[in-house]
Amino acid sequence: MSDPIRDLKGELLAAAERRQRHAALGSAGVARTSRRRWLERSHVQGRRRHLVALAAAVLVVVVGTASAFGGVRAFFLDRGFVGLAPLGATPSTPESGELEIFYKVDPSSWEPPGGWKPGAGRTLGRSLNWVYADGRLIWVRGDGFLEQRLTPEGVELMRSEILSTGEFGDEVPEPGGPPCAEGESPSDGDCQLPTPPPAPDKPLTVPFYTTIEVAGLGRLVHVDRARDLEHLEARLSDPASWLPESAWVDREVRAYVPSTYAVCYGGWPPDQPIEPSRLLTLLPPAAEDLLGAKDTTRKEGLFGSPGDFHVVVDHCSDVTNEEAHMLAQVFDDAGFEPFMPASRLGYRFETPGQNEKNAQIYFEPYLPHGEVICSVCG
Amino acid sequence: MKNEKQRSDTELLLAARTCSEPFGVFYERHFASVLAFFRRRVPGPEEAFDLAAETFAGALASLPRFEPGPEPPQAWLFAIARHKLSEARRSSRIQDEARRALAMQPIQLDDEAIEILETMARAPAIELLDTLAPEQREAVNAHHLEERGYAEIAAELRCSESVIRKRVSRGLAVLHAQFQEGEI
Repeated sequence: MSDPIRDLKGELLAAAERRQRHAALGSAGVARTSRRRWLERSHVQGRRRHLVALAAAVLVVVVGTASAFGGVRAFFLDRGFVGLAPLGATPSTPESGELEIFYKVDPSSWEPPGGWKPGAGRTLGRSLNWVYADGRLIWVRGDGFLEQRLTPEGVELMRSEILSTGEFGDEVPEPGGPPCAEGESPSDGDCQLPTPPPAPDKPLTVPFYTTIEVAGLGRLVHVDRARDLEHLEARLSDPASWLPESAWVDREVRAYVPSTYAVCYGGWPPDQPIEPSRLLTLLPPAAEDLLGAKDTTRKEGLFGSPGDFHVVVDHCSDVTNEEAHMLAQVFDDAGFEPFMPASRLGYRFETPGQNEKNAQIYFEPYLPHGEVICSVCG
Repeated sequence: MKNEKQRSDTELLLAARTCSEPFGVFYERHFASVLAFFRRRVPGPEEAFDLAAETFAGALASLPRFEPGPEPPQAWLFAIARHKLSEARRSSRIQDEARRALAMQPIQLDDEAIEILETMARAPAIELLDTLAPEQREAVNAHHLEERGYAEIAAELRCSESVIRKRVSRGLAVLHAQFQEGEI
């Protein structure tokens, strides 16, 4: 019977025994060498060390050749990737895009009276989503940045869904165009789909942890209140559940591959900032050279809770995917500790005088509208 | 003398430096969680198995450098696992350096083997974990499976410890409710 778990255990135990036999032989060799040391001169010992090193190198080559693996498996980008896009992955096109809708929603944050009901919205969770005029729907949850393609009708349906239930205070987004005639779609001209009748329930103020914005008045306008907000969040979280077939150019979910990454570095905790020039000197020379030659932008965020916020300052430079890979290799080679909160690749490294690894350097993708977000922030 | 299966992870790893069997016990104890860790992050069971194999081979090769410390050995194992995943993601292929260095033979996976792997990766508790919202799953996984502290997770995610505690607490509440409902 085929049992890969048992087979792997057998291979591991056999490898462990081989290592122990080699170690025992090595110890015996060391003992013999020690006895000879009484008799040998130092230059002879030096020669012996070189011979032992050469023998070990030959052994490694022989072992490596004899056991070469033929079946190293490749990854396919049918889901978001953790860290950097594989080298050679085709970036999402076009490189830049006009943002039509942004929303940050979390259906799982709804805690109904009586507590949690198993199964309700649990697979969705918090997501950040961007809809572009070119039809791209890009989002990030916990498993990387993903992308689908909408038709102009699909973009307009998403927009209508928000407009039909949302309220904007005194700001009202400009209409998208005249109503579409029967059989006409927004892709045929500049018409607007009929807005569904508003839900009868009372509008709710959109809580601070939810953000819904649509293009209007020449900028993104924030939705202040919404009728049946729970329903709206559920639909926005899962457009595939309600958008018709005609709303999709490509329903297939693919990884979003950015054209450019931001590599950002900063100290931690926020009340003990470290100058970026000093952080650069703590990086391996190849990374210091690359990043030192690039422009940096200051990236600020807030950490803490209401009434007790600290400003977190990081410094970021733009790098290509190839440069990002080179940097990651340099950090790996230098023994920096990688960490992977959610989909982001980052490294921690030590700052002299501190006991903990309290500086970080990490990679975040650029989005088509030119924004770099904190993909792991709450 | 203690039975191997009664030994702690630290005892097993220290004993494995001179005897192979304790590493086998350590492997059996943690293979399912490592496999499930990868299965949630890569497309197929073959890739997850390769990465799990590479992780345990890496752990075996690193045994002489293993130092008992305040963090449990499971954290050490998952640090290796995360590193293997990071390497694989970056190079878009699963490395086999550790297995090659140990002269291990490749294991062929037929349909039956893949079925066994999928069953193991979908152990009930692991499957339930997959039903959580991503940030809750990440927090429960980091704190309870990888046994990392709230402060460490919070520092990585750049949010407060209370946020992480809340995510873990909510995640556990959902899992508990599902157990109560008999969803497994």
